Amino acid sequence: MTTLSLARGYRRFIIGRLATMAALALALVAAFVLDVATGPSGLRLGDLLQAEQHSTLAVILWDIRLPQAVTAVLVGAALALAGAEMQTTLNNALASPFTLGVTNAATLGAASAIVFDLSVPGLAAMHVVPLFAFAAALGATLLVNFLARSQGAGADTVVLFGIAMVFVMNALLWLVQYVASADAVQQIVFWTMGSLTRSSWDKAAIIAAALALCLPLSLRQVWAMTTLRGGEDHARSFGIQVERLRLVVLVRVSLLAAVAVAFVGTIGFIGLVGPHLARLTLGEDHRFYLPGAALAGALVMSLASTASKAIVPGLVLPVGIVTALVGIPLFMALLLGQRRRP
Amino acid sequence: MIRHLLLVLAIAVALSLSPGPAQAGLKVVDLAGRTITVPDKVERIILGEGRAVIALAILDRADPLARIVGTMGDFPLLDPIGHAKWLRRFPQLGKIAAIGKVAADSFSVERSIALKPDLALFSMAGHGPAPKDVEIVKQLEAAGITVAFVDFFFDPLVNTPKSMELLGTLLGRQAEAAEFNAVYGRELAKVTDRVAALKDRPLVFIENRVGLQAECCASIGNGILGTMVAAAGGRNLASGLIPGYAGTISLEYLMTHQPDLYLGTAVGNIDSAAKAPERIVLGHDTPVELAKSSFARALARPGIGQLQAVRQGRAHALWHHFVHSPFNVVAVQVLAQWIHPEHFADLDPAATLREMTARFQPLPLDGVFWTQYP
Repeated sequence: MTTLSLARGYRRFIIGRLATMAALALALVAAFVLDVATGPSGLRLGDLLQAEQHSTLAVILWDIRLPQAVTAVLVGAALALAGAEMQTTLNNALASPFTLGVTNAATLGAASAIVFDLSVPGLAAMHVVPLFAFAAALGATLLVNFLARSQGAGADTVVLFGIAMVFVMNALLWLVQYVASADAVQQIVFWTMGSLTRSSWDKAAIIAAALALCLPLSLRQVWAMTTLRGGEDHARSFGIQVERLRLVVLVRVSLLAAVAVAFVGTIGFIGLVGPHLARLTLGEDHRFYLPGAALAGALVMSLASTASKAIVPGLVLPVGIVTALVGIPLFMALLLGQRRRP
Repeated sequence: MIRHLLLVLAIAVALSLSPGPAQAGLKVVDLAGRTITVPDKVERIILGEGRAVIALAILDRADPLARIVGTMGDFPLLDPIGHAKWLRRFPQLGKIAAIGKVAADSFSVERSIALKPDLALFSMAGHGPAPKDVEIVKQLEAAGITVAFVDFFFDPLVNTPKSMELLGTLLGRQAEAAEFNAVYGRELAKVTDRVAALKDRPLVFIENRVGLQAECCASIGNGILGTMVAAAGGRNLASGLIPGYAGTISLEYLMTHQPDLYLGTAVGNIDSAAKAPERIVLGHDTPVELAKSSFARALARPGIGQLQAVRQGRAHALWHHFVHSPFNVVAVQVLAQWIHPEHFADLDPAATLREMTARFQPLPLDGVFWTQYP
């Protein structure tokens, strides 16, 4: 094989990946527009865009549909990016942003705020619940991080500490629910089922800020992570400090997952399947795999948001229920397509 | 016709001949549809719903707590101001043994049996054991305790008189129960008789427990407040949309299917007002200004503030605890006035509440229990 043909092959590889990414991005834009264009009122986008300020139609577009659609995209991207990094650094295809107990900790934080009527001076109760959820989620994962650090931060160690955290948080959550009233328990259950209805522009801005902070940092480590896919020893032989990389990734994942969970509740599946969709379409090169995972997660989440409005018109169906139902067919189609390829 | 008359006559004779007030041995059907036998004596009672003392006070007027030996812990938690008032009037309320907290799972069968009650009084909906907790009911019955279910919640207007009658029979207070039911029926008929002649059924949107969850809009499908709105001559926007009792209506749906009336239920109280400003504050000791300002704040949320009903001044708020109370008939009168103001101008629900509590409760209800905007 000549140098020339190698270079040509590489260029074809890059162009192919970029084309796939562009297709994903286009699909995302289409899904987003579809999401904004659908709603239980059946009002069309054209009518909404012509609405006068402060009219009913303007409220529907600017205060209901748009913040929800934007939040769907941001949360999908944040969870899938976090999941992709997690799968790589833990070398585990079953890892997701929630592997280390982020959700369980967030739920415990939210439940405590609901049941014990916790308050923060100067903060509305509606913001207190997400704040406690976020603090608990971040606290729990930082604890896992700290413990892992003290034990050498091996992938198995981190996963084991994470599993321990899941069980501890669950036990504490049950304890809180045990002393709670039926109303509060119902409120906790509802909170746990992820829902986009509680979206607002300020929350979307916070998720966007977390994403804007983490994505460039992830992209700076794409080569290290790509190398890590070849095995820890392989990565070490290139001079990569695997444990350090793992701990840095954990901090990013905690931040992304905690922000997402705090504002929209538990939305499963995206963080697991977004990375797999990206891997199936883009391969293991993290230059494409990480942003691709974010795009794929945002796409699935956006489609789920549209579906959740269409299934029972007029009622709010928590989007967390829908994500898996929408994501599975997409995932299966890709997987089967992959198998058929020689 | 004659056969019916004879039957009624026979029952009347049988009732007048029945010995003693307790009607021991009589078979009655409780609100869960279970046939139970009236025990020989009911001197010790445990409550699966602490707020049931309000219903018991209608019957045991001199000392409503005399027979209560154990209770769940919902009353102080869910209606702290009301509970504090009861506690001031009846200090022994604080000394009643706890048989659980506020979740049915925390109910202790062993503790309950140890209290040697004659009667376990449970609610169909609430915080103690429900009919689905078959094991608990079996265990209590095996210990010789009569278990009876009452309901003021799911089908309030039908089940309130039934529950009071059942309680009257079990407690040997038939006369007191009948007296309450007569007043209840009379006050309810003031609304239902007139509604029957009306054709117009304005569309009412019920927002359940405003401010309790971050997303809009929790509502009621069937039963509960939906039944009360229907009795008052309104049409519940969410009935037919929400399959069960409760659910969440999409704000966008609400804005494009505008109700004639907005009705929020208030779960805030004077203690929670500062901590949870998104709840509407109503109930015991609430000043009018606080009720008004908290309601105005709740209506200022995006979307809700744009509703025609709110803009046209047809937005109202009701004390949430009416849905667990035998005095729900007062709420029906209030609703009728809101839904059909031109036909019920002569009703005075405040007077109804005042008179009924003066006659049937050991302490008055002071405060604001409903409000409107602006």
